[in-house]
Amino acid sequence: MKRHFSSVLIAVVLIITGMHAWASGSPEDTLIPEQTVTIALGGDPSTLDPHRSFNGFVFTVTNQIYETLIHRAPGGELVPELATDWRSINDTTWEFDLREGVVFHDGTPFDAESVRFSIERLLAPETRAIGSFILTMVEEVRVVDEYTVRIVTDRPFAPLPAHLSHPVTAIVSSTAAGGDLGVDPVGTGPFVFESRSSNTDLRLQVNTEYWGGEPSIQRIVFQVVPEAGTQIVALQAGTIDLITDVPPERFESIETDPALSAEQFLGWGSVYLGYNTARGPLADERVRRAIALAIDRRGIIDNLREGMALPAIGMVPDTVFGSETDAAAIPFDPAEARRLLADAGVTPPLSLTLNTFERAETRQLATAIQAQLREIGIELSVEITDYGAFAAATSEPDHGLWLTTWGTVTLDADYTLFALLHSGQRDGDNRSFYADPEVDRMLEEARATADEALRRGLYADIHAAVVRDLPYLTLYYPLSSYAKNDRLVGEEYGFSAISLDLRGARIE
Amino acid sequence: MSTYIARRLLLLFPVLIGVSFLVFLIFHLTPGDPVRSMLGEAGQGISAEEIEQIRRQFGLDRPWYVQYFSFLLGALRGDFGSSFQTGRPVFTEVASRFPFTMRLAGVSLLIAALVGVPAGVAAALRPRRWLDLGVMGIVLVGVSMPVFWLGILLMQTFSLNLRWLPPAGSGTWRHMVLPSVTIAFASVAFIARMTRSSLIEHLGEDYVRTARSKGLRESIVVYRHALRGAMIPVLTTIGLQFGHLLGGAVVVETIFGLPGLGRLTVDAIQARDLPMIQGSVLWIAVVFNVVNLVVDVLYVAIDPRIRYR
Repeated sequence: MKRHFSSVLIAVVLIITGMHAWASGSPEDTLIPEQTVTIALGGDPSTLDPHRSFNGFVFTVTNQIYETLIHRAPGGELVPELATDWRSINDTTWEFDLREGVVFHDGTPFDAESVRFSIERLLAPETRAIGSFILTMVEEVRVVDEYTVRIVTDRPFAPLPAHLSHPVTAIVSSTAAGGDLGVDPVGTGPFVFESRSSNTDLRLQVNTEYWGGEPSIQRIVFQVVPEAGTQIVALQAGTIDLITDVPPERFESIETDPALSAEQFLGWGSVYLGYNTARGPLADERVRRAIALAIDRRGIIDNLREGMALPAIGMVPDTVFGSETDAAAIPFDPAEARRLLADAGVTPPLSLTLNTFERAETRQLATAIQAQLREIGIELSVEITDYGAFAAATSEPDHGLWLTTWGTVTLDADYTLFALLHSGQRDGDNRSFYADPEVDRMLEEARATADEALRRGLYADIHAAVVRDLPYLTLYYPLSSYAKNDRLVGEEYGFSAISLDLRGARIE
Repeated sequence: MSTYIARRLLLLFPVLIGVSFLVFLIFHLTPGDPVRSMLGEAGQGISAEEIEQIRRQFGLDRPWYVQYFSFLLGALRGDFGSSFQTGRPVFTEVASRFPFTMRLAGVSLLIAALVGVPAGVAAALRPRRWLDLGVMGIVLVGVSMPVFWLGILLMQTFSLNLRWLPPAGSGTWRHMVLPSVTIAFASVAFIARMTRSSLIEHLGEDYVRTARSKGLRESIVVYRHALRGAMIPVLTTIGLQFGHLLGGAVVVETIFGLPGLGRLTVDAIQARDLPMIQGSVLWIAVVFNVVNLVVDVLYVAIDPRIRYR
């Protein structure tokens, strides 16, 4: 039997070495041909129909295939895409001049009808569009002539152009929409859908007829790799060219690899702590301020996030329109915090709950905050659940503190401030139940006027009110990141993988 | 025999109804609003009325028993509903992912059986000697090591350090090697252990002594007689391992970025895609039951003493 076993062993060794020979003998079949870029996706895009999703993986792919009327440039400004120019006609009407000579990948010409069709499709109940809320203020889309369209809103809505740069508002081919855009997507973008093999590799090829000129990149391969660790191995092994959201602890190892580079930049995200201002001990502003003073936000950025975050005063990062504020940052001052608590008549220990949802970042943060608040006599009971349970818990009238991440995806402060602060949103995302008539008025006015200077001023005042009343405490603005193989040059990353622009990129 | 198989297949129906009801119950007992979970962080900024509208669109505003019976009626007609995420029929989605996971589980099972049985036999023939101790030592490591950890180790070694095999993706046989070996590892251990103990037990039986006293060659005694009898519990283990392999596929498909049923299920659960969760769990239940039925039928082929009526 010993002999049998050793022959099995020899066979195994032979197979492995044979495999090695085979693997190293034919490297051609895995070498990526010229001008192909392979991008890791953290999850399966469930559909390729931009109207039927509100998911980052979906938009990362659809934004290469489809285009919106307006493009958000990496610098933050709104620039023409399918619309060449736009103006506000009156309080509730916007007019858009459309680009001429653009055709969809299926040959359908792009015109004012395409815009009307796409927006109506996004808003139609039959579409079951989860992201239709981005355009619910739209009442009517009027075709003026072949290349002019007017959009009428049911209320004055200044951030409309910003909303029309959101990928969910993509313009789709009305011909192709008769079929299933989720499987056979047809847009006007620089890349054309090629194939999707058994749901893993999703291939796009260059649009040779692209109105902005044919890109150098001839093919994009999206490979679904859910594990961050696997993504990094694949990047280092050279089978993937670009990954997004590099974990802070892996950032340095990628940066020091000569073949790779990693970038970090301010995105549209913020991480905040919310207070229930309506009920319980947190209804007292002094208690809220004491908590804010007791949290060492600088220390959290330096140690937990390893520097991959920026300190915050207002509620939205500098990349967002309307982020300016004159208010001073709340310092780290536990002694003052204890004094304020005593002032408020709180006898330690004060018991409070903190809700958050399952994620490495929120878990670490919750633990850190729990430890820091213990120093001033507050006992936090931390409840970490999945997102749905978290959302349900924080909508209860007697919840306490909560911790969440937020993205101002339209890059206009209205999106965040209106949702979080307006008293009419108390059934929605205003979980602090904040209600201030003056802030309500300013939010409405800032939404109604197209005067940019006036809007900036109003948002600055609103931020000042937030620092004064503390319905929320922004802990930091996380830095977004991506890493790439240095073969890829000329890509513009913008604010997230969604806005990755490969039109000017090439493989060297 | 055929009535036995027919009866077993008929029994599948109450099992499936039970499974679907359990899935449904767990879905509705899970705290949190399904629509909010579906949207996740991406749904921030959405108003309460808009949430209600989505709830109506997916039929989640109806009482739970209405939802369940409408699902059941549809399922009996072969309509498992449409995915909340993609809007496409659940059956199509599950069927498109299923062959991949079956191939992965099948290859892993083959590896596990081809390595596990000989290793167990080798160990049983020399109990408590170095070969036995060596095999059982490796088995212990195999059983103890979490699948994801082994997967990462193999990936680091073979993809990053040696660069023999691709770390992620699918399409060629080379993409299948690391995931199959990862899943098979723990099963090798179970199968080897079971083979060893079962064979040792059978080697002490009277009929083996009889065979030896007839003057048969030792290899005939072991392979023709003892091993055949010893295979019954091994086969049961292999059948049950298939369930483990499908479970392991969930983890491995995520680590290696493979497009199988396991990851489809995980994604569906994360997105609270009820029709998709129902569809994939039911499918897995059917496969698991059918595999075990096949195992039960195979007993007859191996051990003539077993009869089914």
